[in-house]
Amino acid sequence: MGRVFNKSVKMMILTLMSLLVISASAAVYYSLEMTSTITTAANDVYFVLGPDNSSAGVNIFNDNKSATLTQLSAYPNMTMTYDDAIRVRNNHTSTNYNVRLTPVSLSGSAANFVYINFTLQTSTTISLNYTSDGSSWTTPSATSFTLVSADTEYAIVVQTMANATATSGQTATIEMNIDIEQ
Amino acid sequence: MSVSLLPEFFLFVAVDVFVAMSLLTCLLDDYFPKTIPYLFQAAAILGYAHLLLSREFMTLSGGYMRFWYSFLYLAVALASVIALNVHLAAIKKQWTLAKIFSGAVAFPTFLISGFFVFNYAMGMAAVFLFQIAMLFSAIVLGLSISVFVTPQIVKKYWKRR
Repeated sequence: MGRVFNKSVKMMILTLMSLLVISASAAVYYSLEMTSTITTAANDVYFVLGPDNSSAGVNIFNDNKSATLTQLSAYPNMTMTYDDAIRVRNNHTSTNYNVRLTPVSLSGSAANFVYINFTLQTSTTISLNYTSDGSSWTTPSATSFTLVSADTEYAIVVQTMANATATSGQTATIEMNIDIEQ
Repeated sequence: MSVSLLPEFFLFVAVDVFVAMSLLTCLLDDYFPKTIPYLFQAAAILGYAHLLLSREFMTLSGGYMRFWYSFLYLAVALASVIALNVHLAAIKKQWTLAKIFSGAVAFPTFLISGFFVFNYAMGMAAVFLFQIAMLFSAIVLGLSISVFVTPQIVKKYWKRR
């Protein structure tokens, strides 16, 4: 009787200790799983100059991650198209990426423009179309993601149109992002 | 639910193995020295400390090093399972108990550990539902082997050939 009692007590103590150790270990492992290590990597998708870059005044900087187009013209009631001023390049040798265009900021007189449109010429084209009703700009929402294949460049077609009553010398400044989804 | 395994998972499995061995040796205390269950508990607590240290110094040790110190600890846990089995069979001469132990404990433990190591090495995501099913299958398989494969059956098979 005493031996059975001793064994039960021993078993109970060991079971309680086991539960404690297993729960504590599980908690530590769970906290380990919640710890993620993020390493910065080289940028595989970036801007490159297109053949028409000089007419659009393209300037690429910040390790090819930012670009300005400073000489885009817009004519009253005429669509002006820049077919290949700037390109998006996926420089990775094997990985395809999904990218999208996201508007960041817009400034400039809405009274002088009808629209400014940026279209990335991937197999499924994506566009950011900034339109003006003559008094205010309508900023588009982010585009859907589209695939950019490895080791390939895609042109961004820029189209502009100014208002029929636009005065010369008016400027609009647009900032946008290229988001990458892996 | 599927998640990628971290190398520390082997530490966690080894802690579980030590804890299970501690309870088993306590249950079968007629066949093992009295201090063995406590030693296994101590080994399990050591594993817990190991996990804690691994978490604190995670950034210092690379993935390769984390795998090897976790795997070595698991190897020690598995070796202790084998040692218990050998103790039952060779020292205590409890053939039936050793056979049941190998089928119900040693074999499934090795199979599951091997499966986790394989999963980790192949970089596969672990689907825990499958692994629970596999654990039960392994116990049934191990028990069946130990029950049906007796020295007499093996001798008979060789005679027939």
